[in-house]
Amino acid sequence: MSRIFILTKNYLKLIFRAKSVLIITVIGALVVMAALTNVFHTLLDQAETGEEFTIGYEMDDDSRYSAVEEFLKEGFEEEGMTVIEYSDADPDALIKEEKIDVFIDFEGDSYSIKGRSNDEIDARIVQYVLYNVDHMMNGDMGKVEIASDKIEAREQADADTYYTIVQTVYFSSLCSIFLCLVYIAERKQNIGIRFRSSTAGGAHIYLSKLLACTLTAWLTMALVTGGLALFLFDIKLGCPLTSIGILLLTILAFVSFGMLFLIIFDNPAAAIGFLFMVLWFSGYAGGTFETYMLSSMSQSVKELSPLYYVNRTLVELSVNGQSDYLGRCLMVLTVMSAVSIVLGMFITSKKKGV
Amino acid sequence: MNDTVVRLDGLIKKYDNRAVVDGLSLEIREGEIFGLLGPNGAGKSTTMNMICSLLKPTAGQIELFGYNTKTDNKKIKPLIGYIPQELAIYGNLKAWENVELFTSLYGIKGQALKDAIDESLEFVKLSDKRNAFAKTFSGGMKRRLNIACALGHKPKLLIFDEPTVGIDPQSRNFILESIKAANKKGATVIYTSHYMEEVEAICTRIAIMDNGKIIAIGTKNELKDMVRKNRDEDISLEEVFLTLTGKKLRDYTEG
Repeated sequence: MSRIFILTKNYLKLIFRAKSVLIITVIGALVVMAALTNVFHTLLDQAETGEEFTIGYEMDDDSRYSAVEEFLKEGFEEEGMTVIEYSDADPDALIKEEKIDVFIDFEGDSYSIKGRSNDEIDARIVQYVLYNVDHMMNGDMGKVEIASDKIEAREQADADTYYTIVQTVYFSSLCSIFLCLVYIAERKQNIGIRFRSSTAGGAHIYLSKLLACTLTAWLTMALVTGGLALFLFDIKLGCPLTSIGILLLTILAFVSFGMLFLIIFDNPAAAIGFLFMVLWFSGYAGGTFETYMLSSMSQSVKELSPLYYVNRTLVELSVNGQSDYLGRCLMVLTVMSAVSIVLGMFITSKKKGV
Repeated sequence: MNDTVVRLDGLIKKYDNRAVVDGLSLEIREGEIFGLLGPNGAGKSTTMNMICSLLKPTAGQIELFGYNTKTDNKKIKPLIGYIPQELAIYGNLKAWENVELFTSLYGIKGQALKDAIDESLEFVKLSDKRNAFAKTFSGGMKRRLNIACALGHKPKLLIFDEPTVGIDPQSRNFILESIKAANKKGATVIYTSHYMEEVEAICTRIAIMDNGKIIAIGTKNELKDMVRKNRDEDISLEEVFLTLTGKKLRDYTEG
């Protein structure tokens, strides 16, 4: 333990003495988060407060959604949308004649949504609402008892809430890139030879780096989110302890993931390039840039991104105080951390050092 | 009592079927300052890396202090202090922090660690610079700190791989005197350098390697005798070296 403590202590000194890196991390994160939040604010606000639109629908008698038909109608109407029921309608003709903007056809266990091709945003909003309703129904038609107040509780996040949360999550994951610079310094300075000729095990070396990087990333993000909350806008975390726990676990998962690739790749530049690509895709699919509820990306692709689970859980916790994704989010982050740590420790033991 | 510190027996290291070290057998006794000489690519660094367990031999045995490196690695490593040719220190750590970090790798802690830091820095005369960052040091000071980082765990065998490259004569002289002082304190030393006068000045026995084999071994006078034979004039170790290894340029790539 003393070896890990002394190594961690010195790694922390090395990280904190690389002031330029820390300043860039904190200030960069603050500036970019503020900028991205403002840029995407417009997009989400357009979706939220855009012109009210008209929804047409047709409900088969055997549709599982018939049990919640009234709740759905009330919900849409409360949001200022006009809802019209049709039978044997021609959706294309109705949309073409501009009688409606979106058409929902409820059949059996499924539904299909048609929207105007040049304004898909309306259709996506409808899809998002129905997706949430779907989740509440859990596919069990025999027990559908949904109170109207529960439906009303399923609100959408506003732009500030959404983007402050997802950008905090994204920069938590990006910390892995900034902080793994400690590896580059070691390789440049040929330090590995001392590790390999010593009696310290791979686990000592790996765990001390992981501890130092994770602690610094936690502190960095605390400063960033604190700075945001103090000077720019509030970050509305729902269930604060759970949300903070998820953020801490996210940082551990991405730092260990980042370290794994720095250990595997002999060339740190290649490792960082690869990591950046992975993080960018993860953010892109996970709702960091385009909101996950309005994204045209398929659900299966979104679920490839660990950030999707984190974003969705934190946003839903913030807005609704609960999230069906909480369990999956914790599982994804735990598995990601565990696999990265076990592999990282194993490879470090083999390579011994950097 | 067996005073053999290092015993190499039929040591072979091959890369792609090319033997970099080719059947090397050698004994180094306690208290020696043993010089290992050879042109670039002769196999010196590979041999030292195998002694330090940084490389696995393709064949052959290495015994250090009676322990076999294949089976007793954990017992052997605390007995070795390796001073690499390239500086292996953190510029953004202070002198004492560098020594602390690298000494702690051997499990030394508490007061023993503090004492080890003080003694190591004092040994290389950097006590007054203990709180200075390594990146602010001159080349010679960095070399001395590089040595101090390998001394904290009080090794019995010190391995120096060209420790005086690129430093001024004063620093070089100080390092050579330090090596002699460490030897007087009881450490056995293996020393490699391309500076023949250094080897001549401090080594009690010298081996000359070429093409992965030892081509000559003995005291400096014994080596000179091998070459001068019928000549009366005094010759330098460099002349011995060039006579034995030839004057052809040695360009090589590792691996």
